[in-house]
Amino acid sequence: MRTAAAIVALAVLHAAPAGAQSSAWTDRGYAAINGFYQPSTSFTDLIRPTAFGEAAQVDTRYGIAAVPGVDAAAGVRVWRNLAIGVDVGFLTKSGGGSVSAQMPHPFYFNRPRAVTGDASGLTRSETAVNVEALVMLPVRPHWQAALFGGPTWFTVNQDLVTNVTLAESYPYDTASLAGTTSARQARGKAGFNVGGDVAYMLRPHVGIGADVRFTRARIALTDTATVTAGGAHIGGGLRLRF
Amino acid sequence: MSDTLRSFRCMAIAACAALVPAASSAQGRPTALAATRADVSALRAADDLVEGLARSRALRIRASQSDPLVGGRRHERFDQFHRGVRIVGGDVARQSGSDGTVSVFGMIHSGLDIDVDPALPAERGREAIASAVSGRWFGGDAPELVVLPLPDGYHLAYGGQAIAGLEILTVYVDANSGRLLQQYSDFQREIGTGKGTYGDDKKVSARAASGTFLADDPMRPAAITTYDMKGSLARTTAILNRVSGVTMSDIGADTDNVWNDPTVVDAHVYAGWYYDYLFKRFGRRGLDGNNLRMAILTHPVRLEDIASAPPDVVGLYYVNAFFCGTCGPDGRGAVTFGEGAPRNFFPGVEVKPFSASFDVVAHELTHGVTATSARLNGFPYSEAGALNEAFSDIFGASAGFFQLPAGTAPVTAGYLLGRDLTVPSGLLARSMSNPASTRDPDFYAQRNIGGDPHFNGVIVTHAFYLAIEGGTNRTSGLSVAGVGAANRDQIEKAFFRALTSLLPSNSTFALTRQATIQSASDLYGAGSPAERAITQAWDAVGVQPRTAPSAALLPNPAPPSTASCAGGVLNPHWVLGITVSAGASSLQVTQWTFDLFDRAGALQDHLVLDAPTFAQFFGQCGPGSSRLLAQSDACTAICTDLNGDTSGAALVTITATDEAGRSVTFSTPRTVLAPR
Repeated sequence: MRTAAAIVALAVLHAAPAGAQSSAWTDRGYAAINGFYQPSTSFTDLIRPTAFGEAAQVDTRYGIAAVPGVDAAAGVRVWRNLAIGVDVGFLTKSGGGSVSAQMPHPFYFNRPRAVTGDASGLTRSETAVNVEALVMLPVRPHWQAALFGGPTWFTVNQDLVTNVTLAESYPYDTASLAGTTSARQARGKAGFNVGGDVAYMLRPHVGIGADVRFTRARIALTDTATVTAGGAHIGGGLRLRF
Repeated sequence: MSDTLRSFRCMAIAACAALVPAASSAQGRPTALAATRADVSALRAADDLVEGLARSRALRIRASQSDPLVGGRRHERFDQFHRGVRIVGGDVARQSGSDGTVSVFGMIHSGLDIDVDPALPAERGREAIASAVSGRWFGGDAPELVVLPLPDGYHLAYGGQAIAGLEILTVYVDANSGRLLQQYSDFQREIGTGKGTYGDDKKVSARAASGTFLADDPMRPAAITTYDMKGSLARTTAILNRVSGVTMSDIGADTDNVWNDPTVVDAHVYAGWYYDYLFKRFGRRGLDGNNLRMAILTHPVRLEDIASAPPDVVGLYYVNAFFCGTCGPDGRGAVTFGEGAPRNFFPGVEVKPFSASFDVVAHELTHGVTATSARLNGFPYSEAGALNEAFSDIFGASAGFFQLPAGTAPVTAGYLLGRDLTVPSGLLARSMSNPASTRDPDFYAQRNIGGDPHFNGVIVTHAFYLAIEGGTNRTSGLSVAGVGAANRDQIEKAFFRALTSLLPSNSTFALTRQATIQSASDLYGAGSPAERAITQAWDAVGVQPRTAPSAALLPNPAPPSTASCAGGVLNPHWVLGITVSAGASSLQVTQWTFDLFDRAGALQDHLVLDAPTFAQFFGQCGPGSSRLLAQSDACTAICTDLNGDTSGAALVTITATDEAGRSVTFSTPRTVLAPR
């Protein structure tokens, strides 16, 4: 079953100055609450648990569906149009995977049985702390644009299939997948983020905007499972300037 | 003439069973039934006979089951009763389909006039059984009152098991006098040598209990339990004889489930493999088709005690394996595997534990299948005993091919049964592909009537081999177009179905020929490659439909003998075996003649002998009567000279009356008495 994930991220938010048509950015800082949509991703894991005294082979393809959500950000202007900020994003999703396994026979060596099926309830959560340098580009009255980028610290929690349970009966020459067992793996790793934002200021300190952000890190959860954290997302939401 | 008569000297071809003449009913006669749709009128007559006898309760159903291999077919097994008393060996197997009866095989006894009120009460019969063999009663509460057909007629008898020495015997005593009528061993033995395992990895299906693991298979539908007797012969015999029940401590065990006793591992794993073979190949659930539990006994003795062990213990519990249908927990059968012998106990040979060879394990367990289906009997001199061993060899080897790759190395499949029992390999083996290589017969006329059933059974196993692999029989020169190894399942199924569904307990080679052909026809169609291969294979090994009586005088040519023949026999002399075989009808021998010819072919002597003389001569290796049951044999051996001539020929002619009262005469081929 798929469940919607919530995303909260901090994104670029311009505090539009009173004279927005000026190229100078005079606000002290920015904040934003932003909804976004992160495209789907997948990864595979091949494990060899022991079953009936022999190594099994369980190949799982995990699918992380596209997730809508929000994010939030805040920063302060440190020099001219340059600001330093922090964006924090979090997503969680209960996903699944397709399992293809070769399971040993209980009585005979080297007579594996092919088993296929789906694994469900495999939760993926991902926290991204993006430290960003932001350059604000007031382009027209009421309109602002910004470019940003910087390092990201990702923390990924992922449920990984550790074994399968079989529906089988004598003579055990065939079996079907009855379920999977899983364990949560958590790892953190540094990556990067880069993106841009466009805002329309409805009032001097309040506006709406849209952004595009690309974040990425490759994280080895186990010896056999490596995931890609982050990705390209498109979002939009409230922009605040102060 | 008188010189020729004087030169006759009986010689026993093999040891005889204990047969003590007793009061009997000479009335009654057996009729062999072997009817298929090949002869519709005969099948209808046989079916009518079965129906009529069933209506009168003279035939009672013992078992009825669907055919797991041919859809829509059903098999019924009937036992015959006379005034409510079961007739031993009187049984019928009837196959039927939606369109009526397909085949009937069996033996029916008719015309009996025997009183079924025993003079001895059952308790006295039980005592008589034990004392007749100087043993101890081993049956249930009471012996079974039966009608026992013997060559001299029908006897009212008590039958049951007794323990005598190391063996369990089936014993029949006269229900009026208590005298011994018949006995035979219940042990199904396999001769061989072997020790340890070959280091191959196996999976042990074990049961966890109280912090340890037991060789008690919890995963297969039938209970498969392997016991470790820990070298205690006393404990082994107590369990086999049901003096003592088994306990958990008797079960093979391991503390960490990484088993380090190769004997227990082999026995337990191979028993499971055999169960799998029955299920996957034939759809049969265990030995009896109903998940009868398997009890396996290992380590019955200690290897280090072999030097001080009595010969009978060495022969049974060291270099042997046996199935006993009435032994073990709850008396429903057990297999015991000998411990083997250390290297050089027999010069230059190491004997592995008998569980080390999968085909031997499967052989013994097949005895369990036979004991719960065709019940091929263990009567001495009957071909059923040889068939019992043959089917065990056949499915021992076939299970090997099913589970293992073909090859000649240890733990591979092949046609050399028991190859892995010894190092060097194959010293105690029987070759199904080339019987001569293991000094076994490959042709029917080479059988040793009354001899070792393992030896005689090779004729059947060679036919099975030829039906699969094809080839030419070395003796007959006849070729067989086998179905090929890729289609071995066809021949296996035809033979297995014949064993478990078609054959009666008193089967002969000839009847087995008919039943296996019928089975192949049922499974794969008339004229199918399987049916053709089986027919050709039986032809090649010299087993023909036995509708007519026959006789053989062997060997032919006969070399001069160096044996010492008493009674003033001149040199050179020749030892000849005579076999007289009844066909579909029982025979009453009225006269037999023995003709000797000189080297030019001229008749030298013509000896005419009467029925009592026939009984006298053939009693040492046959029925001991001038009456020969349908489908049975009588045999003897003689020593003869040619009045000093160095070569010539001999011929035997039998004259008898068949069941219809017709006189029949038949002769042996003329046998060459070869020069020195």
